[in-house]
Amino acid sequence: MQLSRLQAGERMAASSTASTSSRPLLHCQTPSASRFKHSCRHRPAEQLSFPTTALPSSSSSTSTSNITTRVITPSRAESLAVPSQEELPPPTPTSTYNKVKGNEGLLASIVAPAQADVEILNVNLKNVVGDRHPMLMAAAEQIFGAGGKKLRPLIVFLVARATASLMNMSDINDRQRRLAEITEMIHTASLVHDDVLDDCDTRRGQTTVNSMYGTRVAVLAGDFLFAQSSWFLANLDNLEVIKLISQVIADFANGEISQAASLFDTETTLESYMDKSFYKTASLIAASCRSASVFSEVPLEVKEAMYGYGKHLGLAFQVVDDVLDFTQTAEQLGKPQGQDLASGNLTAPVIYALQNPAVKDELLQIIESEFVEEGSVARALQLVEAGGGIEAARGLARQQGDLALKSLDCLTDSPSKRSLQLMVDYVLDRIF
Amino acid sequence: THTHTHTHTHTHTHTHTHTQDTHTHTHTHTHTHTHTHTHTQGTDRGIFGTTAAKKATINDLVASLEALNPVAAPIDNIHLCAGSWELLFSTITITGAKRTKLGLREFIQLGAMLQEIDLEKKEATNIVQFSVSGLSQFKGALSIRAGYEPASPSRVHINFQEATLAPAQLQKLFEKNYDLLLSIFNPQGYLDITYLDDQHRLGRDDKGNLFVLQRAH
Repeated sequence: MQLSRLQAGERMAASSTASTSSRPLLHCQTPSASRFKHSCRHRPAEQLSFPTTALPSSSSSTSTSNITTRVITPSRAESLAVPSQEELPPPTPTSTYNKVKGNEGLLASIVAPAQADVEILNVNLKNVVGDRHPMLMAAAEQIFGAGGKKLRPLIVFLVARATASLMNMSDINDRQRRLAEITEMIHTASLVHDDVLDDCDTRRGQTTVNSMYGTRVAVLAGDFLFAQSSWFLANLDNLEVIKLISQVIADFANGEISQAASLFDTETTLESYMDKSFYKTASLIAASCRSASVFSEVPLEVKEAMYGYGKHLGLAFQVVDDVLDFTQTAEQLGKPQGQDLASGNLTAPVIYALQNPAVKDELLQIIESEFVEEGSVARALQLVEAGGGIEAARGLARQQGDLALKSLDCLTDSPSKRSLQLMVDYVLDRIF
Repeated sequence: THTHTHTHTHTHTHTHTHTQDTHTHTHTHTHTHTHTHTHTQGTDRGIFGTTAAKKATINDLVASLEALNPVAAPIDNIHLCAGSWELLFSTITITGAKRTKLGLREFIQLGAMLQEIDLEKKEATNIVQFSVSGLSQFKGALSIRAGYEPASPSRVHINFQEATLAPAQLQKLFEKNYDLLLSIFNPQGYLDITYLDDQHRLGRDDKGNLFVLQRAH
């Protein structure tokens, strides 16, 4: 499909291969999946009234007049050259964070500047579902479980705060809060539907909506969330943001369709993989980051940089997910190893391995036979590892992470900026 | 459970060589045919791939049938091939990217694969049936007509003549990958008939493919 640039000035200094955000078709261990994790902690009864009227439109409108074409989509010109083993960058010291503290501690540090924002969001989201449809109230806990990490809205809050700080604003505004809620609703809607399509009983050990309440409730819940988020989006009264976010929903579908259309296609290129990954995963993060910055009324180059941050972070996120499908054990994944591969979804590790003459022929043959022989998936996993596919994919994730970090250069130092930097570490942490 | 010794016993007791009369052999080969049926039954014609073990089993059974071939010169007795046949198994496969491109995973299902042999016109028409699920459900078929020409007592040359895809909705679905579809089912080349009786036929083509067919009723 044709990808066009939004504006001529959309060039990002650090842009590289199209960030591919791909929601994994099969629900791998993603931070987003943890939203279904029940938390035993009681939330303060902070019932904020859910605004039903449109928020005041911004006094100085953002540059919406030049927007005549589709929102930014990754351009062919930004193709990522396939890094050879020698070209892969050495591990960049991105943080001095003490790894002994582990992932949980890192996340807590990241959340800190936006802790209150996330707590308010959690309450609001549950009210969105429950207030309007009592039928969905039962599913609300499942859908917006308090234990979920809420990474996407967190990123929105951090970008909002970091850009507000840059523009000497005292605090983030209601529209940025609403944007965070919209982001999480869209993300959740897609996951609820995904679980129906993939007939998943559990998502990271937690029962899915469709499994607990049936397909009908799950489909309706997803529809409701898409519809409600669109309504909230429209009420933000900002055409640029409306276009940015609406694009994402179309991108979701495009990503899934193009993935289904290329199952077992051993001629899949890294470029098309990155495109798919962008549509599936990075699109939402990129659009919401840029939108958050729009409401801080930042100059164009900062908006573009925030888009770049979200795009590259999202792509790194997806590549990490795809690597984990190969490297984690069945216990860690909560499902058999190599499910992506077994179902014909050829991701970064395989694509790289298929370029290696040492393993190419055998790997090709196994994939084309669709793993009909017993033990062939295990053999393929071996070949991908031996062929340097995992290593190369790690390098790709690191590369995207570095590009995300570079995008933050335009921001002044602040706790939120620091958190955005640590977020890159957090995303990469699982594979390094 | 089936055992090979059972088959071999029957093979060894078979002493007649059939020239024109093919009607008396059926009981002798029944067990092998039963075996073959059993083993080809769950394979979906082998079209989406079979394990190496399964292929080996079928190959063994086929080889033992071919050793017994009751009609030694099938092409000289080609009238025995007339009529309708159904494919039980072949080594032609549609897997990997090809299968994805042709939509044969969830969207389009493969139905029966049939063959009509017309002695007068010296033509064989292969019919591949499809059914499409989704918003509009419908059925259709790809028909490939080819002429045959005897080349030896057991071999015919095959000349592709015409391919038809119907109905129009099916044409639309395969439009982008029509050449791929045809290349899979193109019978151009030659065919050796390696076994023939009144119910079964085995053939091998110039590309090393094996075909196991049964009379359709």
